[in-house]
Amino acid sequence: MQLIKGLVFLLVCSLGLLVSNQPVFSSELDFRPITPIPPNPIPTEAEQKNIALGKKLFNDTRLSASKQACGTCHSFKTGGHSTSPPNTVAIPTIFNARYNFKQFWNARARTLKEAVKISLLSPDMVNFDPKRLDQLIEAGEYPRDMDFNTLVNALTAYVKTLTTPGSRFDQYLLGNVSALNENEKKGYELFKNYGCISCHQGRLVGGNIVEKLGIYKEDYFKSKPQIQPFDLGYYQVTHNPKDKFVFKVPSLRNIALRSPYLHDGGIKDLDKVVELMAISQLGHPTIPQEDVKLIVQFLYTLTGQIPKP
Amino acid sequence: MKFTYRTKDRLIRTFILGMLGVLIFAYYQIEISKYPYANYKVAVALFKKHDAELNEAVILVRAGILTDYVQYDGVISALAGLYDVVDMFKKSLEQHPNVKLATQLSKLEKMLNEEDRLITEFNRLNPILSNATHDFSVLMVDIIESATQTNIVEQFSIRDYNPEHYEFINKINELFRNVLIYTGGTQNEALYLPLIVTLLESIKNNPLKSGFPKLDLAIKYAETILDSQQKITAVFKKLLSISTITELDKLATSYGKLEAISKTKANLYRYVFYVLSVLLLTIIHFAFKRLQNVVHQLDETNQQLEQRVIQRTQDLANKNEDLNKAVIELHETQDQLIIQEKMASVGMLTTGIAHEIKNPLNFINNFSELSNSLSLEFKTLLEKEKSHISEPVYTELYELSSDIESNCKKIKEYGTRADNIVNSMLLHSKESSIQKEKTKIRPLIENAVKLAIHNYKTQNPSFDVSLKMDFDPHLTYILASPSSLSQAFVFILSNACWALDEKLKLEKLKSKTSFSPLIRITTQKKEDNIILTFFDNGIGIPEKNLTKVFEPFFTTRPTGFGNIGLGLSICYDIITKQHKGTFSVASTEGDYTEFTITLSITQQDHA
Repeated sequence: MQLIKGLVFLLVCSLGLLVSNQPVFSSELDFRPITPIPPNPIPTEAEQKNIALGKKLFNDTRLSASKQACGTCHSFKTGGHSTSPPNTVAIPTIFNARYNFKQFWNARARTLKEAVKISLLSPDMVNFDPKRLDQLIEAGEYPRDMDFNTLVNALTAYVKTLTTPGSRFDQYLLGNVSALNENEKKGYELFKNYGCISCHQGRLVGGNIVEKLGIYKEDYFKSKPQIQPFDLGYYQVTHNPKDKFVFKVPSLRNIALRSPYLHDGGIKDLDKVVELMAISQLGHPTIPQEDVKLIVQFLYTLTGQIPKP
Repeated sequence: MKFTYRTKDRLIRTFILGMLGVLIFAYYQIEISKYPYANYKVAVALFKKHDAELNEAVILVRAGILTDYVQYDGVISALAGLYDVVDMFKKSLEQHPNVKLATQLSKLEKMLNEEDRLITEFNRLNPILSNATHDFSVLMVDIIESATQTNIVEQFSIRDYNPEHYEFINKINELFRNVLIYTGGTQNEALYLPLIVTLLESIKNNPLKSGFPKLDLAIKYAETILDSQQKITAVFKKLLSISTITELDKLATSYGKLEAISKTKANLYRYVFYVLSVLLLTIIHFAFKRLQNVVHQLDETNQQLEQRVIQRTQDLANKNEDLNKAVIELHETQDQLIIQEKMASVGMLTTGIAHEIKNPLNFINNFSELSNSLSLEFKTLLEKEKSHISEPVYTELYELSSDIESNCKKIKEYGTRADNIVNSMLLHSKESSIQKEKTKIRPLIENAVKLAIHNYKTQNPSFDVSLKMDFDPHLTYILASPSSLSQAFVFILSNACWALDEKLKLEKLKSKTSFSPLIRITTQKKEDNIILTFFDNGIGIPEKNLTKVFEPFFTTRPTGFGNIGLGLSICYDIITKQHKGTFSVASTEGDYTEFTITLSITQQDHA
């Protein structure tokens, strides 16, 4: 009897072998050096649940101590952003945010998740209140096992779905030559020739490097009555004097929808911004108005399909 | 120190349990708890791959191989990949903390952060440089073309050929070339920078400059190029000097060491596991053996106990039997004693009566004989005197004397009979007066048989009986009185004959012929005793009479034919009193009768 028991024990032990540790490491590299914005992958059922949860959280003002939801500022009607109050940093668009190399104007968040966390916890933004989440969980609004981490994960998963593929320019890149008219094609040529493309390139037509605003002329800041801390840009991250007035090069996707422009929302007119860029960033003394118009026409082709709120 | 059996058992059990525990622990260490960072090699390889990609992308960007549509995505994705790997390391360290690894990882991360910072700067400077270079080139080509055309026109006119102007154009050309050649770096700076700075200064200060409106912008671009070339080369150098791989290799070595330790540990535990397994199996084996022994012993003990119980039970039964026997014997003895006592008293009574009757009987007998002879004398006298007496008187007297004579004969006859009875009765009193002698038992019995059966046959000629005699060959002589014993045997045998005859008659009445009368006589020597049995399958004795058969005057046979019921009583006296033997009877009515006589061969008188 003892022997049989022993054998059974050994059998049970060997069953334990089958439950071995899964590898801790995994790699999800999302690198496709192509210009068009890819369509979103179809989520699995579990991911869908998570995304649905994220969507609910995105618009839920009850989680905030200041009655702000993510959707309050990142309005879908205005290209995923909205006008910020004066003397505050402009609200960057949430569309295609997943493809930015770093997040925020001063590139202080390395990953989207980090950006979501910062946005939630910042008193200027969502101003997340854990007690309110607990209350909502008690009320049965959210799953029992939800904590801050799962909340961030759900929101991140949702934000990742907010992309705008299918713009006319993307169609052109994919081989549909007739997607752009002649003027727009001329505008694209000018965009390249002027050197805009040196910074505004990649999938997002920008969004993958930082650059100083005012390489040739710092007139923009000189004209400002007062320099705000957020005007210092990347300097806030590195505290290196070289990095003053350095900002993340913004994506030009859906740019037509996203007035006002620049990190402080200082310019409302897209033509003006193009002009400013030509002068302060590319060193041109002037730029002909025809060229500006053509470039702006090209920029309008970058507007993609806006996701449904 | 002495342990009780129970304590020992518990100790052994605890030991085995402990060993099992150690076994499980060892097994856990060998198989289940694996090296926690088992996949570190994958991560290291991934890191190296991304590092190589990063270097490649940086060099491609720096060398301007990717023109027109500059892809920073290569740099950025490689960097992101590196951060991913660091995150993997971090995650695995969160699950299995290790201070040394964490320190090394944080060093690696710092280095990576530095690399990130440099790349960000590199990426920032690069578009400035490329745009400036592009615009500068376009401007310079424009300026030089227009200037050369002017020059040609002027050469044709020859009037005012301006050597200064010509020299200025040359300077612009030189600047164009030198700026484009300039790539920054210590050597390059030493070689070209002073030259270019001098050129720039002389062009700036030359009054001819006003003839070239675009020259100011070109100079600005040239300055930007110089500045950003310097910066970007410095960043590039720094970037290439950062060796994340060295730091990674250190980390990998630490991981490798840990893995080696873990493997050694696992091996050690494996040995422990094997040794303990063997030990445990051995212990279990011995435990089994011991158990088997114990079971075996238990069985044996059980059997012994059972046997002992059987033995005891047997003993008890034997004793009980003995006791019963003793009780029966006691009863028998008691009965015997009672019978003996009764017999003795009856015998005494009989003897007394016999003595008392003997004398008067003698008188009766004698006087009857005398009267008879007197009667005979009277007759003789009467014959003589016949003539003297008248015929009728004579006849009457003769008849009277004949009557007297016959009466006397009758008296004599019955007197004799009574005398016989009295004599028989007197046999009881012949107690110790007998003479014992060495007697052959076999002829004694055979004579008695002959006598008895012959005697019976003469009275009942139709009677026939089969005889079986079984004599013990070891038995030859006994010390006894042959005459009295013979007499006893005859009594017994004639009784047997009678019983058989009675039964024969009964069977005949029932018209059954299957019955064959049998008398069986056995002698047997037992120790110093002789056992004689007389068996017949006659009518047997009713149970109620069994105790009475030895009593004098007890008979079931019709009286008046000499059956006065003294036979067995006399036998009893002969055997018990004269020979100090025992005499018993066993019988079933209608089936058989068996008399058993036990006599001592040596016949020691107890008296």
